Amino acid sequence: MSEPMIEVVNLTKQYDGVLAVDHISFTIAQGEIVGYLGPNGAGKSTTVKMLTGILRPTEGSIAIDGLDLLKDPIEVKRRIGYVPETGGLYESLTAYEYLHLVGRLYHLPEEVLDHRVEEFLKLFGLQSFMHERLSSYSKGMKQKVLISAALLHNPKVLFLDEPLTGLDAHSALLLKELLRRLAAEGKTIFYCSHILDVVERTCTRVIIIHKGRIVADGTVEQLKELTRQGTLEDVFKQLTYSSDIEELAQAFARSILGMEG
Amino acid sequence: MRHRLLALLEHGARRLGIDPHQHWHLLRVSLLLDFRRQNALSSGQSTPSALLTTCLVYGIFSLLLALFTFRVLDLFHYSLIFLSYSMLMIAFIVLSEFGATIVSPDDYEILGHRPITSRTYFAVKLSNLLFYILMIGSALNVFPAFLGAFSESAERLFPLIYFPVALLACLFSAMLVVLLYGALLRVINYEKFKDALVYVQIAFSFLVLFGYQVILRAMPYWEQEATAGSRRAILIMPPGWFAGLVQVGLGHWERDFVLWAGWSMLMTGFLVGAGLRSFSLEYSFHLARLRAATAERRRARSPFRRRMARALERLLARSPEERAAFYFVRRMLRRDRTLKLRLYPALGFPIAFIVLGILEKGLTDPFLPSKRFPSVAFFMVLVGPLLVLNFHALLPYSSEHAAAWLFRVTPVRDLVRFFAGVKKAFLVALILPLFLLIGAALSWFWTPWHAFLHAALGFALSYIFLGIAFLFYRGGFPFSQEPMKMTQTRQMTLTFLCLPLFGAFFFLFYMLYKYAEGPFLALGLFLLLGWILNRAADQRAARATRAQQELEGEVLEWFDDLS
Repeated sequence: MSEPMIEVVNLTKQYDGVLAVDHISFTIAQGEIVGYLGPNGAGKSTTVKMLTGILRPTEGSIAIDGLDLLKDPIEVKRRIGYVPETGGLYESLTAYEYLHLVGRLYHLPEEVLDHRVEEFLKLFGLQSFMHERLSSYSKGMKQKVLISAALLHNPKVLFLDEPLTGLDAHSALLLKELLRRLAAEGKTIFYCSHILDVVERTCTRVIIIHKGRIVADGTVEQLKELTRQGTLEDVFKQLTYSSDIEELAQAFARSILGMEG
Repeated sequence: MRHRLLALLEHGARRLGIDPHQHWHLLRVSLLLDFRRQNALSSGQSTPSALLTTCLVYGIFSLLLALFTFRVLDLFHYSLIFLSYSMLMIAFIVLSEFGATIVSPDDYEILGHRPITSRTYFAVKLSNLLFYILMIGSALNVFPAFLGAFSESAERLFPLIYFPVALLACLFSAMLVVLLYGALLRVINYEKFKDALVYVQIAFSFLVLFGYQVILRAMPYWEQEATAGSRRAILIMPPGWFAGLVQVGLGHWERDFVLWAGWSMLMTGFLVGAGLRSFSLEYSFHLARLRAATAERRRARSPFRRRMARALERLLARSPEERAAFYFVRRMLRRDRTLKLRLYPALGFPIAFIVLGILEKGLTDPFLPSKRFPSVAFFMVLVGPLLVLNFHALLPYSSEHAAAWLFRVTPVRDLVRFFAGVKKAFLVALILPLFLLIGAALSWFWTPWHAFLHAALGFALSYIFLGIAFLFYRGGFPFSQEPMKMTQTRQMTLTFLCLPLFGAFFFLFYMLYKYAEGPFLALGLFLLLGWILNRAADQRAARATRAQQELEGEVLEWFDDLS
């Protein structure tokens, strides 16, 4: 196994007495694509925010590329790229201006930056919109800009939080293929998602988090074997839901239809 | 030479832990963002135009003030007055407009994972703030600086000395507020932080509104003290320190001036140092902590209070649209911090009037013959109309404007009743309590009958103003537009400029109270006129909102076509 690129030990986050992330530990090797799954409120986004240096953990340590995130946050941040789930853009800027700002924050030389910005926008089909303000972009177009911004400085580790939100089928396929290529080139990818199907097809390993704790960690095949389930969706359901989903949906429908009567 | 200076500045910035390259690009973008944000549906509602209007109004106001004072006061008191005014205004503007500039967890979501040090990030925020401070500080002080050169004790150097000192004083004032933010950031979560800030702002607004009364009464004392040579009280008055610095700059090396000047430099150095050292080091993590903090849990109302609130709603708002608007606006008046900040200080007026009454040894009762003109009593009833104008100006804006999509997809059939509900909520939540408090405050000095009749007249006048204001409503659902930097300050400034017009009402009231039946007749007439005007205003507001909805539809279609 190659050198660990992400090393998390006893990571904990507590908000006003509530444990959002409860002493989780894992190691991710260089070149791995790890799917990080969990139901709403499980602690996925909190984990990613701690791993990207946005939130300070209550307890525990994070090392990325051998550097301690708490001791050397700036050096770690130079090595990572992050696609957030929501927000993350100055909508009064154009895509061209926004990407230039991001590149300059990473001290990229102007010629390199110009070249990369134009190329990324061209690859994502945004070239003809690059001088329009981001506020006029659709959700998918904004997502493409966010992905471009995360890749602009050629990071060693990529954190993606629901990266396919709003992307059309073609762009989603492009991104999935891109992730596989990047992993093959030695980039480490931490992929947070609700879309189990995509995780099953894209990720080499899956971590499932529930109520702030890791409840499963392994390859998709290992998890299926362990839980004796046929699909990742069944594995996920077994590990994270206490009540019957069909029953819940039926009660909901009864409530809505009852209003008509 | 230029390159050497730049290299020196860059070296200095690096020594402070600031990345000059990142600082420059982030500052450029932050100003670009401020200047680009514009509301597509309301022309002229942009930061540059608001900044320009505010600077213009402040410039004209300080010019007028300077024209009245430059031949009367000596240069020390002249500087003292303008420095006090500038510092108070700057502190007030920073408190009310720039909270989000200094403490913006949303901004941190975009930049938090980038390799930017806390100090660079904080320096960008501070530089953005300084840009506005310099603009407004210059507008406030350029005319006083120029006219000072022709004052009683004319000194030609005065403009050259006074102007930079005034800007330094503005910087001091802004830094003081930034440090207040820093102190609050450390100890409380975001929800509490925003609440605490509102209460500080309310207290401050009150100080600005009533401070001049105290200053007017204290001025003779200060002058007396100053001539007596014991002017140590100035040591707790920052404008006095800077006025001392102006005197030293002009070459007046008196012991007190040197003491105050030294104190001003020491305290400014301390504030800037403290800001850069303690606040900026942990700045980004404080912001992250704010974003992460869980929302405050509110206690549910008791079943009895819930029943009472429902009964009140049913009584005052008949149609579902009216009830929805009534409920919505009442909730926003209780929860929206900007509304609380801008409107609630008015409820403190009755207390201030009691204090004034005690200071004046009684308030003149307009129902009784007296040699004294009842100006305070008349001014009290005008607080209501002033509040109405502020409410009208603030109604379209909210930081939660994005949630207004609800109105675009929900079929609000009867917009006329909807706006009636909006206005009723305001009357019940603010105007009624205000005049009940005013009635109670006046009862301290007059017979309760006189006190409450006078307050009722104030209520009826506010009702008329509500109708008039909504006749000019630009349309749009309440709280559906993004508030932009400086626009609120501009609106408030323009509202205050209407104050002299209220002089006409002083005359009207004076005529009414000359006759025994006057107040009764006026009460009936005001209520009838108010009812007619408000009916017309609801129709007008509904029409304007419908027109705006159509315009929005066209804009959306245009975007669709474009994409």
